[in-house]
Amino acid sequence: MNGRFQLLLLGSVLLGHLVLLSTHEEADENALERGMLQLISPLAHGVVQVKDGVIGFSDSVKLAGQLRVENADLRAENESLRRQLATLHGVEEELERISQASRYKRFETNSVFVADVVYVDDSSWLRTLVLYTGEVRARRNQPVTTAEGLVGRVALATERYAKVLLLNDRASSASAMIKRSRRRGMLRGDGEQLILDNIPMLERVMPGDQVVTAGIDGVFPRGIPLGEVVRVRDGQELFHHIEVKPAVDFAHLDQVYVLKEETVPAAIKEAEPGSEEARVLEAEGG
Amino acid sequence: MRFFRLILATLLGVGIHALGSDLIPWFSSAVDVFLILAVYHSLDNSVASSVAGGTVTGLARDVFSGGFYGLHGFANTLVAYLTASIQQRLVIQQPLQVGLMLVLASAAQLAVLAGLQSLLLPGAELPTSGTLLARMATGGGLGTALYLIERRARFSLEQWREQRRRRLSIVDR
Repeated sequence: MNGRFQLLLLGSVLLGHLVLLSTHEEADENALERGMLQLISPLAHGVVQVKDGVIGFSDSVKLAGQLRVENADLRAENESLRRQLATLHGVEEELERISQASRYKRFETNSVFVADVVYVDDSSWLRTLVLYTGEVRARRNQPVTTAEGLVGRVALATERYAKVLLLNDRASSASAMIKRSRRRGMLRGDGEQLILDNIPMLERVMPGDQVVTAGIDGVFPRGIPLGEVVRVRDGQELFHHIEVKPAVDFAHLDQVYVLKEETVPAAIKEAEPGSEEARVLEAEGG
Repeated sequence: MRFFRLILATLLGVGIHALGSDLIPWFSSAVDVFLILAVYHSLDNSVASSVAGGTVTGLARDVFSGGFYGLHGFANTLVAYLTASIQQRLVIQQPLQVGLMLVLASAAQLAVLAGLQSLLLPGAELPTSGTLLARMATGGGLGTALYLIERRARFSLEQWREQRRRRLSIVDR
């Protein structure tokens, strides 16, 4: 092949490229580009998919390893919890015997039903959530909890749904006590945090103190965790200003427990001493 | 057969380019697999075949670039032609010579691309000196490595063939 032919070949091919470049404005008309795209894209896509598949498989293998470790940890934890439970059964039986001997009856908090959280409204001034209670109809003022602590109380109940007023709502309050000292106060919501009022300045309160329900407000039974003291300041008059971090993370609620038992039956709460209703109740009580 | 090999190599280049771009964000700006293929093809083929190689690899590269369709086709064709012409005059066989050829080819390709872009689209963003250096380095490095691997593979294949031929001749006797 002589040099002139080579140059002619090169010139014609480069001219072809220039023609191709000049048709750029009418991109839809460029059949060559469309054809190359149709030919090459599936290959490129296939290669990336294979890579993703290989990486996905390797991730699955890694995950399987992690799950084995986690499973072993959970088995160990389960074993430890079983041992604790066995010990607690002994304590409970002992407590039961002492209660029977002294005719003391504790309030039962074991009777609960589970409800799904279907809607959370934490943007409006009132902080509420809506539960789907299914076949079980909730009652007004029923305590709502999680394994971590108190969530709030039922503010409105319908056939299958219930609206819950969260503990950190400004309209929410509960009788509370500091677990360490058993000192009672009143816990109220301020939108985000909780404020523990009515704790005298003479009382020693420290950050880290656990706060639980006092069980004297007729709504919440005693001993449900409310939160942890995070800040203690001198308040107005003779009381501390105590900020409490809620035990429950309200942003991550998906299922809650609704306590079935009423702490104080509504009839007793509403009956005035000496009234006809009170006499009927006394008669029913034997 | 040679053209079939070229198509196969281009498809392989597509795979490497797609995989590299997916794994490394800066891959497509630092490495031009298609130019390496075009130069490599030109070192071992006639001028006409080199021009075809430059066109095919360049147009394949253009599918992945968002600019004018045919820019890389033009640049790769020209670079492949120059490579084949130089190869005809100077016999390039040493790995370092191949590496140097790829370094020069990378620089020439970017210069042609920049020239075409500034002609067709005045004010367009031109390749930076960093891109130029990266392309020259990766082109030279990868080209040399590819050449060494290929030479080693050819040598091993020749040895295997020779051994096999000897064994067969013993059996025939």
